[in-house]
Amino acid sequence: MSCEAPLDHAYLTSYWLGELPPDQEELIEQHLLSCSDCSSALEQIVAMDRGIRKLARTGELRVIVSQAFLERLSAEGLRVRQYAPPAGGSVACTVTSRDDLLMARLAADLRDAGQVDLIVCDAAGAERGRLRDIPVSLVANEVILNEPMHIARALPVSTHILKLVSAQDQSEQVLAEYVFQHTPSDS
Amino acid sequence: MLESVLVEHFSASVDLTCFNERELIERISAAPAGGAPEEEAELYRRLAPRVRLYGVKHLRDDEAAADLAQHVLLITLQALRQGRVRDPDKLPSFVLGTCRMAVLDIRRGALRRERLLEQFARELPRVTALPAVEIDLDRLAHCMERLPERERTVLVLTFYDDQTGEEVATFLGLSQSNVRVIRHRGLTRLRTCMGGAR
Repeated sequence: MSCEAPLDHAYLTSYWLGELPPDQEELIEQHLLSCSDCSSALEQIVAMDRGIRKLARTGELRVIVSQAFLERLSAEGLRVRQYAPPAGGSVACTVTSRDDLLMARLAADLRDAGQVDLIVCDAAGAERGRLRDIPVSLVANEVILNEPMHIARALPVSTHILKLVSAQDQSEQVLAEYVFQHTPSDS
Repeated sequence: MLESVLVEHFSASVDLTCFNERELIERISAAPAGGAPEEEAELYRRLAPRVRLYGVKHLRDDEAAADLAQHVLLITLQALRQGRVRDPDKLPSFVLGTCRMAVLDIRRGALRRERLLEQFARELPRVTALPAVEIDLDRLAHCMERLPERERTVLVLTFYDDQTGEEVATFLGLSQSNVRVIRHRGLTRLRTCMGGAR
């Protein structure tokens, strides 16, 4: 027999993350101990949690992160290579076999920018990829991009331009751009 | 007895329509102590993963959670044998109360699994491994790549960095309820992409 009153996934997630008051937590726990369906649903949330943790730790996700995220990686003993060219500037960069994660730190004040896209261009300025409507922090004047290691490690000598653009009403305005001069590492 | 207090303390005000273990419990309770080994083993098989999950939530440690499951189920089966839990619908409350006490003991370092095993191992069913659900990481990576940027960031900050909804909301300049909506939307997309939508 399946559960006639299954617990909502959002509610189960809040339970797993410890966001519920103790009385609600108690009701959920009694239900979970009596219900294989909802218990299995929570198992899936836990598995998703663990999977996302593993992926984040391997550096294989292209994702905008926070300073607190970087500090957590360092606290776990992971080696994080970071490049922070100034807006309008360039930086020579590489990635070695000893690095666990690679971050591009793009300084910019984006508080009033509206929707912001991050565009990846080649040396000629041609668009090669775009992250649409990236999350923008109101407390940090920068965008921190976690770049997948398997992509970075496969790059030849090459130039990449990252652009932050304000995308409004089918028009866009370049807010800042950053040049990365990549050279593969021997180590 | 502590177990009796726990049974009385927790009311059965919970939806138990999906509680399918009543018949098993009645057969164990009706048999002389140790006289229903197959039913005890079956009850153990069904409840142990649920108790282990409670342990993972509160102890954040798989081995400690497995110890908790073993400990709590041994006490539960002993209570059933001794007729201290006669109403099957009271069992979830009893198990929850026992879980709570055991978690406190584990945190204090006062619970010794070996001690309990020595006491009951010959009579009660043997526990086999309680494997956690594994996820296909390649598939998950593929599904994560397909998420909108905002959802991917919220999920990573929430699950990897253990940031609270409030911390993520502060970082992104959103309300906590907005962050929860984004998180829920992201998880729903992931579940669908992974093929496990309920």
